[in-house]
Amino acid sequence: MNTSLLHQLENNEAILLMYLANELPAQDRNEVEHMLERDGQLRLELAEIQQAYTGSYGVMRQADETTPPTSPFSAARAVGDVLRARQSDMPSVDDHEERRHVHWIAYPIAAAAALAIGMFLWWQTARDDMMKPQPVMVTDRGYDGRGWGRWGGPGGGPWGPPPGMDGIDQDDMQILRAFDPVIRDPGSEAQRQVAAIRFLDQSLQ
Amino acid sequence: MTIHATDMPLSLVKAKDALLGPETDAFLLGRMRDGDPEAGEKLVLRYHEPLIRYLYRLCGSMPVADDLHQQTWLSVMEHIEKFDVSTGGGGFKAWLFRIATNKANDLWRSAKRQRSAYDGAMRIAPSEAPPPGDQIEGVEEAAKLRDAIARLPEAQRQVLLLRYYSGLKFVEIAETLGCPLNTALGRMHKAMGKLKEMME
Repeated sequence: MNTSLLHQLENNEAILLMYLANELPAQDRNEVEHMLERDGQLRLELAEIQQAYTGSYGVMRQADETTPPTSPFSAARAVGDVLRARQSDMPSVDDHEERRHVHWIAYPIAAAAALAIGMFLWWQTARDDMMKPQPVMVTDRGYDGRGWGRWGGPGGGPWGPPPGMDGIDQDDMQILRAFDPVIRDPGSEAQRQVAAIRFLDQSLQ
Repeated sequence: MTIHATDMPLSLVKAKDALLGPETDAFLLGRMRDGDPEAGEKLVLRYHEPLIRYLYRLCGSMPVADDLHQQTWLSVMEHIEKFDVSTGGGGFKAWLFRIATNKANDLWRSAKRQRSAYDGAMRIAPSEAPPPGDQIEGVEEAAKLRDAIARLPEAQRQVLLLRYYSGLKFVEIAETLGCPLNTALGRMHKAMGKLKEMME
C-alpha cells in the first residue's frame, strides 16, 4: 500500500507546510530533504513559510496574553452537575441487580400461583359435580345398556359410573332390563306402582 | 538543512495535557459515559482554555464564547453514546473542536440571518476591556492583534485557529472542516501570509 502523501499535495506551500508540521511519512520527509538540498529556491520558500508560521503563532500568543479566559471551574462544575443529576435519576447498579432478581423470580411465582388457582377452581367444580345426586337411570326411556354411555360406565368413557351405580354386575343388569317393561306398561299410576313392587319382591326372593 | 516541527510553539493543549494527569481522553470519556462527574469535570478543565480561546477568536466576544462553550459540552454529553473513539482521526479532541466549530457556525449563520452582524460583534469585542491609563500602548497593540486575526477571511481564520488552539494535524483539521487537505493547507498558508502583512 502506498502511504505517500507527497504526490497528493498540489504545490510547494502545501508540501513545505506539511514538512514543517512534521506530518509527512518518513519516506516523503526524506524526499523533501533531498529536494531542499538540491533546490536553493525551495529553501528560501521554506524559510519564508517558517517565518510566517512562527510570526502568526507569535501574534496569536500575544493576543491571548491580553485576553484572560473565563474561569474554567464554573463550566466544569456545570458539566459535573449535569452528570450528577443524571446519575441520581438513574437506578444504581445494586438497585438494578435487585430489580433484575425480583423480575427473574416474579415470573415463575406468578405462573405457579395461576396454576394453583386453576387447579383449585377445577377441584371445586369437580367436587360439586360429584356431590350432586345423579340419576340411576332415565325412567321414561328405561335402561337399555346404552345409558352407561352418558356417564361413561362399563365399556364407556374414563370416568366410570356415577355414585350409587358402582358394583353393578351382569345379573343386576338382567333384572334391570326385565324391570323395564313393567315400568313402561301402560295403565294407571297405582297399577304400575303395584306391578313394580310385586316384580321387585319376586326378584328379591 | 532541516527545520523540525519542535521549533514551533507548543499548542496550549499539549501544555494542559501535561498539567491534568496521565489519563487519556478515551479513558475519561469512558468514565464520563458511565456518569462519572469527576471525569467530565476533568475533561472540561483539560480543554477549557484552548476551546474558550478558539471560540472567542471565532465569535469575538467572551460572553458569547462562554455560551458557545457551554453549548458545546451539552452537545458532547447529549451525543456521548454515539461517539466512537476508534473512528475518525484526532479522537475526542477533533470531535470536540468540530462540535465547537459547528456551534460557532450556527451562531454566525443565525446572526447573519437576523442582521445582527457578526462583524458588529467583532467591533464590540475590542472595547470589552477598558484600558488602564498606563497600559494604553499595550492595549492598542492587543487591539491591533485581535483586529488582524478578526479581519482574516472566515475559512482561513478557522484553519489557523484550529491549528493553533487544538493542535490537530492538518489532515484532521481538513476532516473537521469537511474540506480537502490541499484546501486546508492553502487556507493556512494564506492566513499566515495575511497576518504577517497586517502586522508589518
